[in-house]
Amino acid sequence: MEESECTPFALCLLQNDFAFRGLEQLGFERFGWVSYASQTRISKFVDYLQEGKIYGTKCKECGCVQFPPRAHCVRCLSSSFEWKELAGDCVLITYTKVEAAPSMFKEQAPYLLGLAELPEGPKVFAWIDKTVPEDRINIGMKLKLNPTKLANGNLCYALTLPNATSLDKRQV
Amino acid sequence: MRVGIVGIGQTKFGKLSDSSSRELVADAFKEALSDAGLARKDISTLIVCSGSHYDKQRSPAGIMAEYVGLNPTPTFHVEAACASSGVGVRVGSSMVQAGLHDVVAVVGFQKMTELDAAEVQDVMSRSGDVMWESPFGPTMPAYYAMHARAHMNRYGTTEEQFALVSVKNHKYGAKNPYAMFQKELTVEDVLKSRVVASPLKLYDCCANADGAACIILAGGEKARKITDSPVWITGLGLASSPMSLTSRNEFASFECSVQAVKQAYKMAKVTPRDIDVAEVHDSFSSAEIINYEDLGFCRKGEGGKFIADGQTYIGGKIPVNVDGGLLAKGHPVGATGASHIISIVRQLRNEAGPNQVPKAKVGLAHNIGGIGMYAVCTVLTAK
Repeated sequence: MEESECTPFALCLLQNDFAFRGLEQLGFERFGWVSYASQTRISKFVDYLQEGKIYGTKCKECGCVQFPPRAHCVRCLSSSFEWKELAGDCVLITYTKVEAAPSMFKEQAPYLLGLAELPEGPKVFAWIDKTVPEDRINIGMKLKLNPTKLANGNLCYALTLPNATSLDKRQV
Repeated sequence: MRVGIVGIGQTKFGKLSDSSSRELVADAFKEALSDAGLARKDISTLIVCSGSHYDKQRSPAGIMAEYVGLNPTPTFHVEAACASSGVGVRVGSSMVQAGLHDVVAVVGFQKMTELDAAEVQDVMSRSGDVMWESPFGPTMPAYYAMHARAHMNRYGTTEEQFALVSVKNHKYGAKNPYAMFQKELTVEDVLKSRVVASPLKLYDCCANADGAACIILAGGEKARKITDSPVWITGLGLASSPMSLTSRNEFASFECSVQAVKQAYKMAKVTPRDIDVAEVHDSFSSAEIINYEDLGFCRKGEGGKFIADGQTYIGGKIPVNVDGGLLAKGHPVGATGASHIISIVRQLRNEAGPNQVPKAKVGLAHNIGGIGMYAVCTVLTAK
């Protein structure tokens, strides 16, 4: 169809479609097995993952460290932030093993979801990596948040045993 | 001016394959009108409530008001996930109190069983924070399971105690003609059912359902003119918690419930001891145990013991979900909050049949939205 044949509304749809096909610089669609968001002010987070690093944000006004990263401070709503690398040491708060998974996660199922607390205060929601022996999983155990590269080429992070090295070189 | 419930109507919940959502809404609306002895012209606004993520119809208030023949009466949609119609009743009540409308109909509905598996999965996978949690494949059961696990770890609550909740609710559901599952279960049935998200198993989880529920509200003298037995809304509470688990501080409790019920008790000038019968949000058996504690029915950490001691059966300290709860009734998301309230109205009118709590005068309806980000509480009083 020639552009001149489009109604203004159809034209608008076409333009959106181009945007979603990656003609604009987006970024966040590279995060996770399935990403529902592509455009955000903190997409640099994914670049850091690519480098094998976990970064949070730090508010320039009040110093509050946040993870997952936020463009607005959770405490004072300031939108002035800088990036701060996190060591990734954490402690497991709770977990579950998902047996009945959404269809797009069928390949991974069953998988363990964990919620862990970082020493800087914030928490992280992530897969507990399959290298962590299931019989050792308990609330209060020490874990480490490590960057990962997924089989679909996307970047992610997972909770591993504390002594595990960065997973960014291998696929999970 | 107090606001009274003057009419109630509800469809059966379940897989209602012969009906569309507008037909279910019309059934519930007609029954509520007839219960109140009112005609359509008496309704001055229609509040339509649903979890719109399940709706194929965009902006459903439009079609519902048209289908039941209410145009040009005002209509609009209220969405708060599983708490949609609980919040709808709060909104309707405030409109009556403000004098904007004298008789308000609140109708909640959901048509869930016609969605194919892929559609349900897609909706389910986006029930939490889509940026930071959905990429890991969480589900509704998984979120509640993580709270259940935290409760077990802190207080020693057991999977058997979770199962006891499902056993109780199915016992009463078996006698509720509106319930999806009218069959009793044993602890063994629950424990042996397949794991959905550990520690929760199939019979610890409520089922998706179709259904609609309608409540008609009127204020003070108007309510008394309509019926001899209005049930009064004497306490209202609504609060929120972070949607993301990473932003929560507490996992053995739903903090929004604690806040919402505090407001409702204060407004009604009651304490948990004054509640004769309660409907609490048992989308999962573990949630009912957490709710006992959050709503002040027992002390923190004692919810498991509370069900094991039979305190939430009829004849116990506080009968809970004696209509079968979501576990037996099914959970048509948008209709659930209104259905909780309707069950309490039936109790306070002494119309609950075999599940009647003797001499019930004060009731509490508690309704959670989504993975615990909204909680709405309504205290209802017979006189």
